[in-house]
Amino acid sequence: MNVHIKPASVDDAFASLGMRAELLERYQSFMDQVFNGDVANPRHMELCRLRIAYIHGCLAEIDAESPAPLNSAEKQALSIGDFTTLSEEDRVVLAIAEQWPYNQHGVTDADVDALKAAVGDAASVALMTAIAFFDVRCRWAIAFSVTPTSDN
Amino acid sequence: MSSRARVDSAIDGQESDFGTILSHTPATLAAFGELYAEFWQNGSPGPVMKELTRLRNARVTDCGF
Repeated sequence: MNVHIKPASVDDAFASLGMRAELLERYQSFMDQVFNGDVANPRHMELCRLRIAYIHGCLAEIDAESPAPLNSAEKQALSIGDFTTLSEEDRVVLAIAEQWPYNQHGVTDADVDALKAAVGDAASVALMTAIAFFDVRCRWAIAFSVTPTSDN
Repeated sequence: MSSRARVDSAIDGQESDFGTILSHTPATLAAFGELYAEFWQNGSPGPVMKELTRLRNARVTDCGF
C-alpha cells in the first residue's frame, strides 16, 4: 500500500510515526531530552538548529518556533553563513554545525577541542547529539515533503 | 577523520565509546536506548531490511563504527 503523507510541520511529519505508537512515544521522549535538556546552552542549540535548516533549505524547520529566538541580524547571518558578527563562542559552536550535514568527516579534532574548551565535555556531547538530530529532522521533513504554513 | 575518540568517557576506568561518551548526558542515553530498542525489536520492515539500510548508510557515510 502506498501512503502519501504531506503534513504541515516537522512535528506533524514525525507524527506519522503514530502508525507505530510505541515508536512515536519513545521518539518524542528522546527528542525532548535532546532538545530541551538543561546541559547545552539554548542559544547554541538554536544557532545550530537554524544554520542546519538553512544549509538544507528546509523551510519547515526555518519557520519552526524556537524557545530561544534569535534577532533578525543573527538570522540573516545564519542564512548566508557569514558569522563574522557573532561572538567567538558562537563561531566555535557553528564550526561543528557547518560541516555536519554534508561533510561529517570535515569536523576536525581541533573543532571538537575548541568546542570542549568553550562549553565543556557534557555540553559538547549534548550539542553534538542535538546537531545530529537537527540534521535528521531536516532530512525527514524534506523527504516527506513537508510544506511550511502560517501555523509552523 | 579522527583516529581517536574526541571526548573522554564519562565513566571512570572505561574506554570512550558510543555509550560512555553519551553517558555525559545520561537522560539522553537512557531515552536513546529505549528508542533504539523499540526500533530494532518491533515493527516493520523486519530486521534484515533494517540491517541492510543501516549498513548501507554506514558505507555511504564512511562510518567505520
